[in-house]
Amino acid sequence: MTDDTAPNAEQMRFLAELHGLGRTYDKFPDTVTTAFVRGRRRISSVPQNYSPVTEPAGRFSADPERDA
Amino acid sequence: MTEISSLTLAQAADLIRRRELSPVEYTEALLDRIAALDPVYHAFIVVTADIARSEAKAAEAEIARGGPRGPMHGMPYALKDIFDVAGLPTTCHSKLRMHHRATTDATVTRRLREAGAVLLGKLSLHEFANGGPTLELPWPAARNPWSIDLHPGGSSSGCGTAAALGMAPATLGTDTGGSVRNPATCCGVIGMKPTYGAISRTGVFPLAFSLDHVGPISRTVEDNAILFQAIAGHDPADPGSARHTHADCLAGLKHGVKGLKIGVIAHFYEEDMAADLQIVAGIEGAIELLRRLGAEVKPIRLSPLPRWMDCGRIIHYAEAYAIHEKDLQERPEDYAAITRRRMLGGAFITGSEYVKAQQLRTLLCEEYRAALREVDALMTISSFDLPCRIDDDEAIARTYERQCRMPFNVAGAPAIAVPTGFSKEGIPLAMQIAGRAFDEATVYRIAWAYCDAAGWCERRPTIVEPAKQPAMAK
Repeated sequence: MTDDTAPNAEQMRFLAELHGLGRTYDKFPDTVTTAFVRGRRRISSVPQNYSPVTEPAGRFSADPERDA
Repeated sequence: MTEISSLTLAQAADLIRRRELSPVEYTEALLDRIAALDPVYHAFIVVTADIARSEAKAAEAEIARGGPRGPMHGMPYALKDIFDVAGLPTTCHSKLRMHHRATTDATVTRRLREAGAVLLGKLSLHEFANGGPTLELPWPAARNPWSIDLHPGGSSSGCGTAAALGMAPATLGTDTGGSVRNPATCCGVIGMKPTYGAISRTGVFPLAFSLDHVGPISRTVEDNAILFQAIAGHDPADPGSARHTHADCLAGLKHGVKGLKIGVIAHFYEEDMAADLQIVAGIEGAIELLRRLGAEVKPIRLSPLPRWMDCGRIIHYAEAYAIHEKDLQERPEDYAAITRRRMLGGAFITGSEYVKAQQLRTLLCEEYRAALREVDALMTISSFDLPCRIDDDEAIARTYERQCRMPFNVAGAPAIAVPTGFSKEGIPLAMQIAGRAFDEATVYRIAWAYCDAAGWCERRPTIVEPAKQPAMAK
């Protein structure tokens, strides 16, 4: 199984259950499988200055008065 | 005299100030137009005729006593049905929200009430601002004013349709990955996604918190700026709302572009993905015109488009899924298939991938700010393709990836879609002008200068009579 290929039905059923989507998979197996493939598509490239310790963008601030 | 429904907000405000038009007369003309056209074009989920008449009457009395208190006083508008209006449902065009009823106004609704504006109704959208046009929902999908079989763009589809057809001079939509600028592009009108945090999202049903923006759609740039100005500003109830004070977008609107530097992000549509040649010809014509008007236009490079799209896609999917997870687990059949497909992708994004997308966003925002130290604004195309058929699900799904709008949601920067002409089939073409955070004034100024010189906003769609409406093939 790779990021770009769908798992088999048994694997997919297990993955759906793991995400609380067992009922959804029973009703819409193809949709959940397609969503899995789409959702697992990784970021294709990053800039050269990317590092795993780059600070993520985000709005959290301990100071409620700070500008967003 | 110009037909009342063709008036721009600016023209109508002028006539009302001179007591040559009353807000009641203006509102009635628009309600008549909606009654005549909406059975074909389905821009509205609900027409609030009683509210409109009552607000128009109140505005008329107030203006008679002391004159208008601002440019939106007595001016009709309509809201995408994702904004709360106290006492009305906020359906989000979804079966899941059919029985919802808002108890308070969204901040923008309240600001427009306080400005004396007149609510005409609530507009169609793609389900939860994330699906696509479909027959599966309790209300029909809005149709393209220029060709009824074509996709009107979305997700603020009713906004684009209503504005283009003169059913409402000003409408408000939301934009998470292009949902204001896409219908503006497909419907040949003006759609502005302002800076993140410039307009309050309080009382607006979220799609993806860190990408959601509220934005006006209108027939002219000036009307767009009027509506923006009426609603922008800090809202302590919205954690994403900025305290930044805006420059007056109307004061310098008509000052022209002489001396302004504009960077063209041509690699998005020349190298990163191939665009329809008519769309490319449209922006090339616009570049030439802006040069003739005195702007300095030069190429500029950002990261490749797929990198921006990946970043936006992962943040969008993950945040949207967090909102809809319970319903997708427990009642997935209540979503339209097209929405279900889009929403479920977020279930399988890992935590680390989401954080990585936010790290990438930091770097892309730095890159964007650096580019705008060299120039005053940026230009690029909006969509890569002309609108597809409204019933072609596969083609619609492709359009979400084939667009240049998401980079400006990732950057949180203001970006406006403006028409650049028409295809040989008579379908609108468009480009975007984007700027520095909180510099909507420059973006509007360039857009106004271009649109005034180009004249594309003057063209009106040919109306389809109700009897001639083709069935939606399924």
